[in-house]
Amino acid sequence: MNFHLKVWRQENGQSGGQFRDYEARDIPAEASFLEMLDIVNEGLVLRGEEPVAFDHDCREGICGMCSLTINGIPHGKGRGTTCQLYMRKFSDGDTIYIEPFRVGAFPVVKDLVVNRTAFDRIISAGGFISERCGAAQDANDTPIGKTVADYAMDAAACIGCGACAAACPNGSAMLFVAGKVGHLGLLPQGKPEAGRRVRGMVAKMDDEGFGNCSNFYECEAVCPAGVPAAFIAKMNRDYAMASVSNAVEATA
Amino acid sequence: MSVAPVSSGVRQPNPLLVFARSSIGKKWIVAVSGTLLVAFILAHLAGNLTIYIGPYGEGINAYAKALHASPLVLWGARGGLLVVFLIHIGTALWLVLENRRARPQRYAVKAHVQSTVFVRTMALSGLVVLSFLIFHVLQFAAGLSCHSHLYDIEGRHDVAAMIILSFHNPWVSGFYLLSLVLLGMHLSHGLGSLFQTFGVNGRKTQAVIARGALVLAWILMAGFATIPVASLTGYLKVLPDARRAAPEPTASKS
Amino acid sequence: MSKPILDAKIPPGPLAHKWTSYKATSKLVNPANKRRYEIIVVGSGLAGGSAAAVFGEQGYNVKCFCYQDSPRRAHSIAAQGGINAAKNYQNDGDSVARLFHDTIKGGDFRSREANVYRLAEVSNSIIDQCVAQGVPFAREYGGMLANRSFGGAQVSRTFYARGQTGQQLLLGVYSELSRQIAAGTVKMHPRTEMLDLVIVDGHAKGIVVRDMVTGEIASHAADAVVLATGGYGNAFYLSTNAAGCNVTATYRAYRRGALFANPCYTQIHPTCIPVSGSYQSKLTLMSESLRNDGRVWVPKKKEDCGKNPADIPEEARDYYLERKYPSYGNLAPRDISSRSAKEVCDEGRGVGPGGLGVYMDFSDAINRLGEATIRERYGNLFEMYENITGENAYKTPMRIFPAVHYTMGGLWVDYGLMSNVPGLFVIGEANFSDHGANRLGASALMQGLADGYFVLPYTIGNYLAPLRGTRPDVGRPEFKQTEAEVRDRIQRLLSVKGDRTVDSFHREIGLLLWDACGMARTKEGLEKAIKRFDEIREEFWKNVRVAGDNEELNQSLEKAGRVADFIDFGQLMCRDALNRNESCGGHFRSEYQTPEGEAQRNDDDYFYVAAWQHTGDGNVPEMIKEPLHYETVQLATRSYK
Repeated sequence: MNFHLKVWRQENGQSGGQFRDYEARDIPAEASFLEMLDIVNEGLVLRGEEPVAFDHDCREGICGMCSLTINGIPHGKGRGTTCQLYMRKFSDGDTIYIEPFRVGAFPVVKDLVVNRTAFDRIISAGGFISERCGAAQDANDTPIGKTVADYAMDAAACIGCGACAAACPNGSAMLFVAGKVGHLGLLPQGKPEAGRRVRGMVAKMDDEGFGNCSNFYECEAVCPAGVPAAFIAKMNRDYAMASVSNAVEATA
Repeated sequence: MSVAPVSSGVRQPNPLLVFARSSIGKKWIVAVSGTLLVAFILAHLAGNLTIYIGPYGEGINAYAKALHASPLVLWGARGGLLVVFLIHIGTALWLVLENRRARPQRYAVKAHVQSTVFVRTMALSGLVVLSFLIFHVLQFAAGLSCHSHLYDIEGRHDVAAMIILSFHNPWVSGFYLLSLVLLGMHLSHGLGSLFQTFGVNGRKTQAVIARGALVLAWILMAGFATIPVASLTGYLKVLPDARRAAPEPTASKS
Repeated sequence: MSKPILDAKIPPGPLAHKWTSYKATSKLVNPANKRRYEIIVVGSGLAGGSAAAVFGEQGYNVKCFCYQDSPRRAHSIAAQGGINAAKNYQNDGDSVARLFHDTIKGGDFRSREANVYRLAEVSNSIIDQCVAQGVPFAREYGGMLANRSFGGAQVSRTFYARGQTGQQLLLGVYSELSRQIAAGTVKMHPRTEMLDLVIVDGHAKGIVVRDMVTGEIASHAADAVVLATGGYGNAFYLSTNAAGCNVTATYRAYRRGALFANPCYTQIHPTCIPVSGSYQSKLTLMSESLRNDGRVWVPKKKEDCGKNPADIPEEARDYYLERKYPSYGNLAPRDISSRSAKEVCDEGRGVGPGGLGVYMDFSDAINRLGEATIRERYGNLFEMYENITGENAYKTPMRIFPAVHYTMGGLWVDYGLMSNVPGLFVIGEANFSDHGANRLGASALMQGLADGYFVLPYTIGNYLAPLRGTRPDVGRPEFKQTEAEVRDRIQRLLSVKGDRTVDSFHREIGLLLWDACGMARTKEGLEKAIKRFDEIREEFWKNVRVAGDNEELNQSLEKAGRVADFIDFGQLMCRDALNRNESCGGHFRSEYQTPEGEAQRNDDDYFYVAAWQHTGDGNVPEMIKEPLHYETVQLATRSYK
């Protein structure tokens, strides 16, 4: 198969960028999108040009490292990450636009590589349960109903790729934050610091310059892990309640 | 730790202020003010529909008279409504500006996967409705309509005539209907969105609430739309001038 | 070969009490002094991330490095199956002793008894710890933890979180790490690659790293260096590992004097999606559970291989596993099953592109149970298969082929997880100690977390306590010298400007290793490969083409350095495989098999760990033995008849 690629090239975070045209020739239909880029890159290297930089690692849809927006959709058409997108989903001769995830809080590092450490800082602002290694009670001491455990797992499945923020017309990270707040807040062991967690994480999210949620639900549609937007509703409620109880505590 | 400790030596900002300035807090403000505005729309529709009472829309004249009975309550309500409007619009615009800043470099190609046209046009529909509102208030409430000086049989301000005659102008009814479409679009997203922001939405209710909101929004708009349609088609009739009485001495101007 | 014999420093006393007495007599670092110590942890997976988090929690200053953009992306994340522990929640007779015994036996009696016992012993604390930090393990309706049996174990001791156990455990580790980062005890350095180890007065005292965004080469000094850099499966180019997994950190440490133990022990997983072309970058694992209902076959005649499988009549099919192993059939163990697939493909009877694949046919199961039942059991796997191959496995048989999955070998460590270089600790897949010649399913996650959470935090005190926080400064000549060597090597890579891409070299050595040091190895093949590596190395340094410069994000350069190390390391793997004149676990030498084709161990001559010492680039390394001693376990032969 042959494709016309329009690839965003940008030398580094300080420079501007522009689209460059590349022809991808004789691509097997069985190749994944990233393998198609590998083939293009090998050609570029042999021609003495700089290959296109893009993030990738596990290539099996779980690490969340890839960060390409393909024809306007983060990770491209269909559910799953870019590495799980196969060229047979395209038609021969297609023109394909490849851009990095475009979110102000994810500055471009080079070409299609972006810096998503804002997500790590949000997790550091409360996305954990404070417990000391070795001090845990027996794992079966606190029963957790299957429904709750399963629902927590739905939220915990987030792979932290950032497609939610990239797809959101507002560049909002609500689904990512709501996933972690939902996962830990649903479990009994996460409840003692649930209020402090949601306040800390939301404050950090705002601080990092992500946009606000307008309930577009684009995030949910592109999420490779299928984290439902219902967790955003839960976080809206949790955050309001945590703020009220914090206000009440402040008067005490 | 970047989580603010609950009690530390450093003076903490007011927790409610922190909430109000946060992304989620602002959404709550828009949602709460939006809920109040929806309540106003419902009341306004109920009031408007009184135009169908009596052969010449006397129902709405009586309703208007009752509304104006206590200027204090009326102006209080109007003032409150204005404040709610300003909060709703102001906070929403603040959010919009922040959202634009969150993506300084726009996509060359952007596709939409599941967002509706309604949510993508919230700011636009909101602003068109706002411009309509200004016109609407000036026309009917502030009495700037050229038909606002008529009185009915009982000497009440003939609000029905003012409305019906105004709608006989196709430009007026056209703008009114267009604004209703945009308000319908605004509510199609806004009504369902309330549930999401208030956190009473779940995975299974999401689609139901969205559809319910859509249906309710357009029922409301249809209710409003009947009046210009009924005016233009002649279903709503204006009291013949011969039967008009002199204004009651106590009738207030608007 | 009268080399010194390695001492694993195994504590005295009965097996079951060794760890307890070790802990009781370990040296402690005064809590107030801990902040004077710096510990470097390279790698942020289950082992590295958990170790860094616990060190931070204990009060040490920690610097943690990873090549990914976030510690949450380490390849531990890809483990699907689960994590073992001897909780005996199912009341089916499990115990620490049984888990220990299964692991030793699974490792084909080539692992260290005391380490394995300790692993089984701490397995239960791992589950407690993970639950406390919010890992959403699968549960029963009553709220208790669910278990499943895995990898042929006779008890249900595997804890799991859907098919994403590795991910959930890593996110647990990452959340603890994030907490310590917020507390300021751990400083995280993402997108930073370790390129060399710095030795000062015989002790590991720091590392030289490259900032993968700016290209800056910098040194970091510490009181101790912990390597948790995973396995070397990517030496084969195609494997189930992540694209970035590499041997550089451990190989560089080896070059600086650390011993590399048992590098030939590699695990091949039998059920992966086959290669479809030379462009392919990755092999995807399909759950082994498919073998419960799928029948494996190839055509009897070579001529039929190109045909549509539906057109091949029953009598022309060879259900070779059922034929050769009538009692186990399609459920024959991983190594047997993998090797049999290779044999039929070598005979030219493989199917699919390149003839490297065998059919796994579900039509019988579908006829017997109905498509709905099969969909219910394996729906997500069939979907994944269709997404990758475009084929509907309900209608046409799946094609599968074995792929490199895990490496049991690694840097040699003693009981305290310290290498022979004082101050250099190695944990997780990067070390060699716990899995012997073959790893059991659901044991990799267990070992990573055991090392990081429960072993190293105790053992490292023995090394640190006497030092009192007197680490060298990065200004010392040892650091400057190592930095200069790193820069020089990068310059050499960039200045070759030849005609071949890095990937083409990587593919070449991958194929070479797969043929000579893959599922079946022969003396002749290994000797040829060892020679061939010399030629490839020479060509690489003359003809590789690396694009761009050092002072930028340069993925071509990153790969080049890793592949250069894989070339050297691949040769070491072959040397180790050649040395081991026996078959055991993941190491099968075709010369050493029973008449039935089973692996034939040689306990008299090879009941030892082969630890390799670097003797200079291009020289033949020296092998040092650590003889194994079993106090409780009886050596036995595995049999599947």
